[in-house]
Amino acid sequence: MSNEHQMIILHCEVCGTFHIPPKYLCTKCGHESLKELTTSGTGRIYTFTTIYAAPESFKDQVPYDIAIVELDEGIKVTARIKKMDEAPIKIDDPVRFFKKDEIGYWFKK
Amino acid sequence: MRGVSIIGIGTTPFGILEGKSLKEIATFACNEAIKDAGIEKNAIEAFYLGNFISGILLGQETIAPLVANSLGLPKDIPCTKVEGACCSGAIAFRHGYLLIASGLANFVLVAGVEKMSSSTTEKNTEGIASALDQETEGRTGLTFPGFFALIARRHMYQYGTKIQHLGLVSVKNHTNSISNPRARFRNKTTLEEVMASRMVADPLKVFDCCPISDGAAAAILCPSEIAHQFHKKPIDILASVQTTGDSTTYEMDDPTTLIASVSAAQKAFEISHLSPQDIDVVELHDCFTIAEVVDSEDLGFFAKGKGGFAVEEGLTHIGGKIPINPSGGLISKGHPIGATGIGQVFEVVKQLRGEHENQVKNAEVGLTHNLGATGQVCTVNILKKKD
Repeated sequence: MSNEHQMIILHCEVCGTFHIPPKYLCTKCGHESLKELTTSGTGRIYTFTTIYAAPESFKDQVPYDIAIVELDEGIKVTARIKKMDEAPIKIDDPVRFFKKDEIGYWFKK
Repeated sequence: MRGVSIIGIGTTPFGILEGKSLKEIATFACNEAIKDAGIEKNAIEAFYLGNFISGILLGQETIAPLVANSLGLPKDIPCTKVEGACCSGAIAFRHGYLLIASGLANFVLVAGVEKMSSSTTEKNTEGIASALDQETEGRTGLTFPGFFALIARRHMYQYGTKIQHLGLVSVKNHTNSISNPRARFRNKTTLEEVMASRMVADPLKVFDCCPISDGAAAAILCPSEIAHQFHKKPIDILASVQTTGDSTTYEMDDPTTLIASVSAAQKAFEISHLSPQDIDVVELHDCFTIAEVVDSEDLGFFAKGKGGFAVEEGLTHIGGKIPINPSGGLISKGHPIGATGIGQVFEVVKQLRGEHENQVKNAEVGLTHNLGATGQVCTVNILKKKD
């Protein structure tokens, strides 16, 4: 992946569908060459949860927040949320992408 | 294609089967099914065994021939393990159905098994999370309670479902399993207890989640035309459907609907020429309380968004419009993952034979619904008391 502060998605230039990488071909039309696009990195909380009972490899991190974020481009992504204040997360809260690491996508709220 | 019937069922109790191995419990359930069918084990022409995570939890694979040899089945037959996460058992069932329907075999043993209680909760959570896409969602630390919590939050937002509605599913299913000797939990619980229980994945609490369990269940299938020769109450399989859904939450158009459940139910009703109104009893995949709400809508018993309200109105209780999970369901009977799909068949067969401890009056047609992973796999069976 390119610059970790930019959120990259894939775009099918044949049928116009956006995909979250990795995607090995366009699942809608079958086109094999998907183009990387830099997104705005902004979106809203579509739904969310806080994990208290974690898998073994995540148990040191509990509790942690996971959400489905709907990007302004209309595509959804599963991401970890970093809360910038104590206000509880709500559906429709605005969020901004800030990094991608071995866990995946991170958004600030 | 010819008709297929269930002529034998067997099971262990679901729960903590201390000191009993996976091989032992699977052997017991299969042997019970063979005895119930009244056939010789040498008559069995194929064996399908559903299991999800024996490799991860126990370091034990190749379990179909292992269990077959433990039973002393003939050596010249195919013994195959199938896997589809929490749907593994019902997939095994359907493979047996297909083999007989096609005319390639007359007697097939199908079973499901899981041994979970000898592993820690963290190890189980990790093993179960292996059904998530590890290239995408799995690496975020999402869990299955977390996946259903994401659905719950959205369901509440879109339809006004309340946390109390989910709690009432747990209360109902705990009440149902009081009389079920195969159930892990046999005590009444109250809404207050459910609401006060420990948080697992907000808003789901311990009492919203099915418990880690051990268990095995099995069935013997044969052509309908000869079923009466073996059991006085054969049960016909009117439809056995398997479908596929999305692998990740973020790729679902609307995660409050699991599309594999919708398509499996539609196909099963089409094949059987029945509709949801014709079903007398349902065992569906309530791995979490919200799952029962969503499933009851996806299967066509209630309009989307009304499943929680239906529980509150008592429509899914015994004696209600459509009794759901009279066994206690996964929440209270238990969810030994690979065994669950056939455990559901066991419960519905008992209902249709009129022999269930928590009997739905005059039950003639039943439906089982088994769901795997993020709704990636689904099976629906429609079963009917043979005329």
